Amino acid sequence: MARQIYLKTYVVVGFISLLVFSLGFLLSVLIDDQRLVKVEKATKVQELNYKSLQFQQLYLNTLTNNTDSCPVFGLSLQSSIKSLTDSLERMESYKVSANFNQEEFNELARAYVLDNLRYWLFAKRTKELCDLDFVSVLYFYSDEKCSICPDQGVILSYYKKLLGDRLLVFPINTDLEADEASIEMLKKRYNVTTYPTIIVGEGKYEGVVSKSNLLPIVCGSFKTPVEECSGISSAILEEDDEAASENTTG
Amino acid sequence: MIGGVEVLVWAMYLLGLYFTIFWLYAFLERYELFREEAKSSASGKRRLSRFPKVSVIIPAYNAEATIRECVLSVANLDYPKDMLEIMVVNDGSADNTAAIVSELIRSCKGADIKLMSQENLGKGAAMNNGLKSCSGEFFACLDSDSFVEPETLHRMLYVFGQHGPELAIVTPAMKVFRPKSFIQKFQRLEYIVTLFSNRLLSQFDALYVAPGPFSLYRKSIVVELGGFDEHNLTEDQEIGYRMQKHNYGLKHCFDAYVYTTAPGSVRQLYRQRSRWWRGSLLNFIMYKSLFLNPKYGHFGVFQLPMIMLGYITVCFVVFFFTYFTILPWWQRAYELYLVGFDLPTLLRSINFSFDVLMYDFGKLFIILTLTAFAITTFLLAHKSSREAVLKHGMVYLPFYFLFYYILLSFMYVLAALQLVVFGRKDKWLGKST
Repeated sequence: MARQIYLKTYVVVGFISLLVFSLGFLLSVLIDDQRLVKVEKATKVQELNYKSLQFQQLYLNTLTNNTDSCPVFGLSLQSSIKSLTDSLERMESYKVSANFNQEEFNELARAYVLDNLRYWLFAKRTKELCDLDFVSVLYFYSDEKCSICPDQGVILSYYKKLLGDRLLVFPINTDLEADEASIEMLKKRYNVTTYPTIIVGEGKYEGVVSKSNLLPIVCGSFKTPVEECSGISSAILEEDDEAASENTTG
Repeated sequence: MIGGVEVLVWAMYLLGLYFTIFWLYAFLERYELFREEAKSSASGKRRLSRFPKVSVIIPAYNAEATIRECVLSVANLDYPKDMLEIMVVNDGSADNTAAIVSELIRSCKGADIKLMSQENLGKGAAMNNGLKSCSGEFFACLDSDSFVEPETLHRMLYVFGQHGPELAIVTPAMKVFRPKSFIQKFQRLEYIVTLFSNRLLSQFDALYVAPGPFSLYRKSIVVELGGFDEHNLTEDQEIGYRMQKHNYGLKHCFDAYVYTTAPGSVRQLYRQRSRWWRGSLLNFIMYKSLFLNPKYGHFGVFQLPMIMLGYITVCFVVFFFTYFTILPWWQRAYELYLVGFDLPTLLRSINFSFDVLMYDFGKLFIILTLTAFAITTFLLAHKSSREAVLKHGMVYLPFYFLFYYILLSFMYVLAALQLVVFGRKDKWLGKST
């Protein structure tokens, strides 16, 4: 039986396949670039929001010298932090599905860590200045060194949904610590040696704090009763306050 | 930089595109030829000038449920009775197979039906025993749970007549017999697509399987090459490889219909596919000298690499399905557990905003292109085998496209693991199911 090799067919099919493949590949590159542009744009908006908040705080401190404008300021702060959280989540999703531009996304992630830290400090100062009743959680995690960290992220996201604007979560990706000195600074401040670690008020909690253990910690930090915490009796809260103070090292 | 998994995903897309486009292109190149073939088949022009003696060997093991219909379908072939020998080889059946055949020998006057008996040695041995005793210039093998249409033999011999004496095997167009269960309906579709690919493979002299249900052999060549491999899990594939190695031809007859009983449950399907897959791997290794060997033309440089790519693809399908579907679902379930399955809170303030950039249009474009090619092939396959796409309704079509091949991929990987861990222990007894 005479054997044949269909070289022309292989080449033509190869050409058509490469053409279709290149179109798809090109589309992917374009989409990745568009994602990067969108995240960069969001970063600029964050910057503007921050400047606006800085101005509002300066205004409160210097001109009015009273707390009449605090509710408006509080709302601006909440809205800016929500916008930051949304953009951070979007950026993380883009980063995960990015085919290219990984380095650029890493740089943006660093910018988001800085934004989170700035807003965390800002929230602390505003809370004192305007006597606002919200709880800030600083959440140290690592994607590279900590396989259980996502569990803590899930529980914190759940409480964020439950408590809304009354709970502010500031995630700090410690994998970026080599590039970002402020992470190292904060880690030293709270003596963070393991992941995940969360800081609620001045309390430090290491390892994954479960849903049931986190609720009394968070609820115990509010100044006024919160509806979502009504299921927890004051006795439990007091008990937990004691346990929390034993656990606190920061 | 693209990560390792991404490189694999893109590479699979490119290879998937290449092979899908190859078959469509090959079909378009031969479109006129296929049209002419269909025309001459429909007009009944494909008549034989002579009627050579043909033996039909039916290896039968515990086949009492189907053997009567199987033998009768052969006895009713549109072929001169004196040129047709039917040889049932009872492979140590413990049921009434032998009694049913004996009764058929008495009742079917004019048909040359013979019954041979052997201890249970498997299909390969049964075929060799039949081969030693049969008198036909050609012989066919017919699994005891399969049935032929009256014109089938006539059409297959016509293909032999169209080619030279180096043509050793003509394979039939195998369809699923009266599919009832979901699994059988999936297999019906799978077989129809396989018929189409066999028709194309035949054009490239790249067929390498002579299916148990009614493949027709030129006896002298099979005897010259030593008969069937009695220790092979898929002796019908081994003989195909052997023919390729010795430069003998295999052709497919697109209108020679034969019906086979397909496995009716997932468990039965696994048993069948596990044997096919393990046999296929062992044969591939046995005939590795043909791989990328230009001496074997398209079969060596294209078909065998494609078979190897098939092995790799199923592993990737299993990996990707686990990585991109099972694990994320498992993760979601675990997250629900972490928050005490408090769905109302999780659904609170759910964000329904649509972010178009969340979708990777590049991959989507390739997937849609591949899907379009796959659906085109699917429709062409139905047209080629004269089957209606919606013969059994629409319900099972999405499952076929979305899950059936994933299910098969898992089966194949399990079978490969079975081969590695346990080696090959079972014996092939000659029933499709």
